[in-house]
Amino acid sequence: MNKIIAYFTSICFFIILISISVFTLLKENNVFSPLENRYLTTFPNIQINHILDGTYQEEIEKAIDDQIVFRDTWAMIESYSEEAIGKVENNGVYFGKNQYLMERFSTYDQEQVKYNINQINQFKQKNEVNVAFLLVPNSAAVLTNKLPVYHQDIKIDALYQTIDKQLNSTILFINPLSSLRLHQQESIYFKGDHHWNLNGAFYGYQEFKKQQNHIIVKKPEMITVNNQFKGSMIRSAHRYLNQGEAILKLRNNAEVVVQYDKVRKDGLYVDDNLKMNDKYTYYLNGQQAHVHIDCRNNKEDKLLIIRDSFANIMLPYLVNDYQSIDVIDMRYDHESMSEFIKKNDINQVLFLYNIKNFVADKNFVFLK
Amino acid sequence: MFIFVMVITIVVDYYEGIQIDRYLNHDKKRAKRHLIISIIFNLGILGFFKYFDFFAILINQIIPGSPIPLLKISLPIGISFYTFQAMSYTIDVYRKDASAAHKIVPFATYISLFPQLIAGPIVRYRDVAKDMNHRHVTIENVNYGIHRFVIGLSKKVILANQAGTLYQQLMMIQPLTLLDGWLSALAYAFQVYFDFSAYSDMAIGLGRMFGFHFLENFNYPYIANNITQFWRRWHISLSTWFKDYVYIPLGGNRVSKQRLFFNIICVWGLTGLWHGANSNFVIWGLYFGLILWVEKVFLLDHLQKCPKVIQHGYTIVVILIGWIIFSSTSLNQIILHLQAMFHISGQLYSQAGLYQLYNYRYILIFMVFASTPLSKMFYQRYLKDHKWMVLSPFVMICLLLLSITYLVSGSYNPFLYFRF
Repeated sequence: MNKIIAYFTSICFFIILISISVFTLLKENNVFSPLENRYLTTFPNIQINHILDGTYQEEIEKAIDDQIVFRDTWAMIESYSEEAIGKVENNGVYFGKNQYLMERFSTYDQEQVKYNINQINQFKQKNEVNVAFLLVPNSAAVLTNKLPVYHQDIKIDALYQTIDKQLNSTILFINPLSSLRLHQQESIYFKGDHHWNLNGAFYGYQEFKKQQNHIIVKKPEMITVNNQFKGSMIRSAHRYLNQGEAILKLRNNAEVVVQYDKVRKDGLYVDDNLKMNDKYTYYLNGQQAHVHIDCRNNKEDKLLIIRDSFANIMLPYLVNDYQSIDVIDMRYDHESMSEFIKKNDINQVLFLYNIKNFVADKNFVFLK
Repeated sequence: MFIFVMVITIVVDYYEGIQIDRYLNHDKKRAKRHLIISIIFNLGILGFFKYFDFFAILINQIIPGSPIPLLKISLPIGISFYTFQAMSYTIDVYRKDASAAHKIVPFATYISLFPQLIAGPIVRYRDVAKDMNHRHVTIENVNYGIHRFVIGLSKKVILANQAGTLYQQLMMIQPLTLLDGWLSALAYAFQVYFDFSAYSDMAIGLGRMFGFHFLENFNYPYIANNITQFWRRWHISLSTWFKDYVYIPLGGNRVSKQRLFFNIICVWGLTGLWHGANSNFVIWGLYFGLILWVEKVFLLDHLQKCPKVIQHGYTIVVILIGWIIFSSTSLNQIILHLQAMFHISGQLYSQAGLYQLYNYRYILIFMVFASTPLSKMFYQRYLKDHKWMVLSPFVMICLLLLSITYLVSGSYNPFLYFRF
């Protein structure tokens, strides 16, 4: 009996090791990992000088890490086993209640915040336009009852207050924290992505209008266009078993014309992107340096939005209120905003950022 | 490149071993000369590669006008281990504790034995001499080796790495609080133990698969009731080495009180230095040397009259302070950490510390369990020589697979360029 078990153990051990090695070496090299959104190291070719200086061995090690068979599955099992041993987060993502995955936000650089706010203040002084600043909270700050018992997030309300205080009083600061918290029983953030969803963006929009003395009561009707969205948090926390979620659009959309790069198309949504992994790019095609939206109505105001991706999903609401909207991402578009405003007769500027992105954003140097 | 260092070590010590053996019976002086050549050679290699820059910096600091250039050579892998193994061989031959190797291949195998080359244990020639010539690869050996290896692997990639992450997370808290100070010391203690003993497990396991019987290197050090006992349970092969080849030749215990102090401090200064060419390791070694001396002179007698809880509490506190010294890169850091631990400055606890304590609560409990003999008793009671024995292969397979998942996910990091 003892011997049989010993043989069985040994055979299993060697089969596992050998089959993992053989399959890893025989399968085709994966160049790109869609789940991680990054390029992988592939097995290097043998070169004598690389063997001698050791770079070959280093490359091989990286390649084994990146090319091992069932890589995604291994990572997924790790994530669930972490939860099983009582961890409340994986890779900086909290395991919230009801499958909510929420990004941890535990530190930020105060100097960067000061700098960014100062840049906005100076920008306001230079330009004769209305400036509003809508700062979208991260999901963990809003969905507090879905967080684990102990968590390590910063005191978000205090951070909002600090920013409000430092901001020039002529700038309209919009803090949607309390109105979003009021609706935390609804679905306002994606469970598996760090963005707010179309419903959450409505409350942001509502708050934005309220601060400008427009009370909006009626929420427009929304319809589901896809329910397979597995977002960035699912990928960060390796929770591939989590269910996909709904991507929504408004039932009645303004007939706008959107222009970016050399593309000119009707409507804010990009249907082709629903086939991609990151379905959030359905809204305004994800990362674009500069999008010009011709809203095709008889409104007079022209809006410039300086933003991160949290703005994309609020545009379906905003297009009804302006003649045109220009959406600029300072990471890719470094032109002078002041000149752009003069040239195009812009009379409203909206800074729209997620708070976690804003406090870390290093692109405010380009705000001129 | 550094493979040549090892080849030269093998050739020199093989030759010296034979020379010592040849002259041992009729020309002891000549034998001794060969032994001294061997020791100087091994210490020379180790000193050159590991300590040249350390001493160069030291001398440059003391004598401002002496700019000894730094070599900045990287450490040849395993050099601390195989030079010590080589020395144990020639000394043992000289003392007639081992017979000289007359074939170079088995001797080269001994020096370059890969399972323990990187992280120990320091295997003495006399302990494996028999295996060298009469190895038996049997299914029992292979099976035992696999169990030992898999347990070592999972200790390393699951427990040690978890403790390591916890330690890193806690050390980011500024300033440290009392809770963070103790918790981080504990995390580091677990990290070092599970890491180091895991490498020894894997070495012993791999060795056994090939038919070698290495001696145990750890014996549940954290259950020790005093520091003297702790060092009989921690990195046994190193403490034995220093005891047999340094401490006892210096006279051991049977000397005057002053000489005893010198002997202990000397051995422990060297032990500290062996761990790395850095002043904190020397301080760490001297710290333990001092405590061992105090224990030997009077403390041990008093301690043994106290309740077990106090004995054990004292031991753990001394060990944890030791790890703080071991892990710190500067004297300042050590002082800050100790101030936090003893509430000389700072708060009682931080939000971040509480969070980590909660996050790691089950893992910490499990680590306590795994670092005591309870884990082994549990294993033997339920999986070995028992009706549940049929489950043992599956437990091993699960542990192996789990270790692989942790190995893979260590490199699995989504690149967050979709951040915005």
